[in-house]
Amino acid sequence: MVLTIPDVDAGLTAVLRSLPASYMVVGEDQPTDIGVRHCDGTLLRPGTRGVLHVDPDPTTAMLRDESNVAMDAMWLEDPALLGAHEWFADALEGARFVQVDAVVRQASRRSRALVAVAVALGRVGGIGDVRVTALQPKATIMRMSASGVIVLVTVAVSDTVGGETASLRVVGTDSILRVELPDGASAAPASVARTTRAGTEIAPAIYESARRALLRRLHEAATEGGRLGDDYRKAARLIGDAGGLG
Amino acid sequence: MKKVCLGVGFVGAGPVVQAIHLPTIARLNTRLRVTHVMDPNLDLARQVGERAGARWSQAIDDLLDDPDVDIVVICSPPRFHADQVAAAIAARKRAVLCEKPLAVELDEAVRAATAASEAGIPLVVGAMHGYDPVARAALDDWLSTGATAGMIRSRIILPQNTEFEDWATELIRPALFASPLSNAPIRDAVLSLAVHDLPLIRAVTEADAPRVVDATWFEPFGYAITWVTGETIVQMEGFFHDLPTVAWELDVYSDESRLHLEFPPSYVHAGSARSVAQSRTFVRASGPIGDDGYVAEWRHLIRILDEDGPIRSDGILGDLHLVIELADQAQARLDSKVA
Repeated sequence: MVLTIPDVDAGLTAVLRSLPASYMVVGEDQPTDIGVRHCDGTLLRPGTRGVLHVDPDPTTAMLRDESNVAMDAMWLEDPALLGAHEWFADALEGARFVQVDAVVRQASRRSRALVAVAVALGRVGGIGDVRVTALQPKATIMRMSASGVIVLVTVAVSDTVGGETASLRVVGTDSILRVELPDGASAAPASVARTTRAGTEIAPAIYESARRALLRRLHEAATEGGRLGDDYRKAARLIGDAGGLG
Repeated sequence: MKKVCLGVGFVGAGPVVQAIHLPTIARLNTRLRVTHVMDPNLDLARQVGERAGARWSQAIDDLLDDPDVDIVVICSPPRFHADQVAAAIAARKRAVLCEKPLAVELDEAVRAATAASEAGIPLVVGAMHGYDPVARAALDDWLSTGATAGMIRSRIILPQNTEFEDWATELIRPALFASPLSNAPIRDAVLSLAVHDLPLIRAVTEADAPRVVDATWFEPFGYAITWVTGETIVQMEGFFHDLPTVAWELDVYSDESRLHLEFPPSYVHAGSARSVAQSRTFVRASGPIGDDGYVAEWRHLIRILDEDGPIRSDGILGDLHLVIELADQAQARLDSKVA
């Protein structure tokens, strides 16, 4: 089934035009299946089957309780991250701590990274004990727990050709899981490696951007009667309560 | 006329001497030769001395009295460092290379460095990452841009040293003494592990009035320390595991640049660090090259002796001041959590 979606964002439209079997970009006068929200939460066009929230800014408190709202949030929907769910859960079980490092282009985008980290961890284990331990103009350190394991999150502000990336390392004495995520707009494959005493396993490279993967999931939810979770809103609340959205 | 081949005497004969310094001196054999090995364990001193073709002894005075020792290398436990440096200075040796840290208390370090400075005897602290040629060049490039670091991260996640020691050499291991459990684990971890990269961190930040804001200890050996200086946040994490993987990384971020350094583990002689610098327009990678920080620190010492230049110890004290300050603050913060 082809879903209609409005032409409101150049980058998004470019991606959508490469998915002709799934989406059709339509003009202002045509009804749309998928609505689009601006980063600040403004609804640019409504949709009958779902909403795409582009680069959501959790500080605006404009995150709506909608069915099938897909958050196009940095690297969050990277298929390799989702595919590593089982390895991630296993590694977390024997972990001593977790390191998560994110890089954002501007200081104001740190809250986006912190919420994305909380969503990614929350999909594997319960999040708690969230607090900001250090906050400076160009960097934030946040501490939380996932399934009772200490998580140390660093967010650095740096605008370089590398884009907005993240890496995650689940550290234990018997295993280490390492995930390196490219910028969400890039189809460069994430790197996922699990090391145990027996050696290192490397997950297959997936040349699909986080945004492309998100659109695929949104299509599945909108056409097969599913529902995308509201984990992003929950995580934004957690980070907000800890003062991480300031 | 400068002496072409300098005699080296080791105070201590443990893994650092056997796996780090002997192979390094072997690479620099036209300028250095081992002349004396001293260790309180005479049998160990003998075995290592015989291997190196050097005299051996059990007391530091014997080594200091040896006229063939030009450079004294202090490789004993850190609590002895400052006194042994002072003794080598008093013996008017030509130079002293002291393994890091120079001392475990700041006043001891001031005493040792001042003695060296007043005597005009070069004193070098063996912080090999501070001499790593690729790391230094990448940091100098980074500093030349005038960038201010917003965040610095030091990550040392690796197996215990024994594996690397065995890869580096056929180690003669002394009978182990049962060492008492430390009641200041995170202070010891800063002085023994985090200390490696602190000279580099100090090079990219003023590190004035460092303030530790969080400290955590992970059993069996691991730490996470968050500290702030000026507008820079520094995150330092270290952990020993039992896995076939090594991550020794230093990352520096500014508004428009990133620098990533990867070091090989200690003990092995696998060349320099690897660096990756990013700006808004380029990614530039460098290394590894053949010379590692160990070779570079020895070359540095030889150059000082060849050039007979002025002796400065302010950098040494600045580095140690930061190390001790962070070690004390981190331990105090950890203790306050436990209390």
